[in-house]
Amino acid sequence: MKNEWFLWVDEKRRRNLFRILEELSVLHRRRVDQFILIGALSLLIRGILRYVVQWDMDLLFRNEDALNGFVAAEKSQELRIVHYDEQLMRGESIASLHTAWSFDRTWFNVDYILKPGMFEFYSSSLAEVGTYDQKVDYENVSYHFSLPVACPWDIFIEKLLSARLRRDLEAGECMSVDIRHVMRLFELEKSNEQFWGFIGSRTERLGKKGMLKDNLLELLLSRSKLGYTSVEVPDHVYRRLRDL
Amino acid sequence: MGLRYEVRLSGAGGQGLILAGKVIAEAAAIYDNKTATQSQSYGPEARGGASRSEVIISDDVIDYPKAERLDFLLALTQEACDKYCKDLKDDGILLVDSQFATDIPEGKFRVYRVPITETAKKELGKALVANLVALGVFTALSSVVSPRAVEAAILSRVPKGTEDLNLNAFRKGLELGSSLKRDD
Repeated sequence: MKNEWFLWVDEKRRRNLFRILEELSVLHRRRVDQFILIGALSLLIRGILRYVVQWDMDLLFRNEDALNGFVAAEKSQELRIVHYDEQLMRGESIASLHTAWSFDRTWFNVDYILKPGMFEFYSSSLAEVGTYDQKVDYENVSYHFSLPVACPWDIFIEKLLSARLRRDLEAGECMSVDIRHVMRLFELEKSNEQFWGFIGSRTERLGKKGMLKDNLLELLLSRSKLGYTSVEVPDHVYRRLRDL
Repeated sequence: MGLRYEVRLSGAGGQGLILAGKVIAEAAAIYDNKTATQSQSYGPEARGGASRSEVIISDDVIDYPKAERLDFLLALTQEACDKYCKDLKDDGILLVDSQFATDIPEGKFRVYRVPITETAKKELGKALVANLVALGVFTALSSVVSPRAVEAAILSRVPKGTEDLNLNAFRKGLELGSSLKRDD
């Protein structure tokens, strides 16, 4: 259990999270292709992030019908769900419904999200990466998850292309969660040729290769100002970016 | 029944209120060993419009995670102040940014006016850390989370090399809040 991802989840909320992941696994089995776990928690589960915060869960849906179907779907009787929003909140490029889920009187935020085109983007990689399967034995109880958990490299791309990261970059926001995630992934993968190949082909298909290059370059050049002085950027990365 | 303390941080998008709410919740739940929930109620990418983050802190279980009667309201804009003052308890605390919320609705709550954004700009050189100044004032006035826990929560969220700026902003707020409390 030494290096398990859930050790970075507050102990008090761990069992609740396990049960929620099991519940989602059941819902996923019943209605395949319905949602994908994205965001910080997916990076934690995939072993990328290693720190303790109050984790939230982001579920990305294919479309509004899928989201509404999920809301209406029958769930475990022991599960309590409280909606923070009265209705789907629509922003410029995102719509979301914030909820909290509880099996044991601790609460876990579960946000239902719609982003045009993003479900298809994430699901195309999932076809290769596959469903995330894990059996966890914790305090004499076994939990089994089988869930569509986003490919971290796709998260790297999505975050680098997001308007939110752009704004954080311009403002010099050193507490930016998106910048933190991108820098972490960069540190892990910067010398991985496969990673750069993946980034190049994916952004090419999106027609946003130039934008990703510009944003990543700016981020790397601003890293000292943002508090990431310790992140080394080898010359080959700049070459790789130029040739991307 | 144990403590149940309800906090709402309100203002405009881009003011770092969601992050401040998360820091309070993490300080309480992870470092002060209490129970906490934190919620936000707008699209995650919204900026410029209204923004609201709520935190509930308890020393027991939290039966219901939504705020109903506020113990503490931070209003960084006049609009937020006008809209949410009615949700405060009679003995609740209203903290406003004195530069942006000048017209305080009548009520039986206690009011503290602090130049939050101006302090961030003038004394710390960065308006962006106004949320951390506000967090410091909140910590001093509410006494619901310990300064040590809030500092630990801030440190867990900032990259190395920016600790000083962020902790200084928090400590400046703490100082302002403590002096207001002494004057009571």
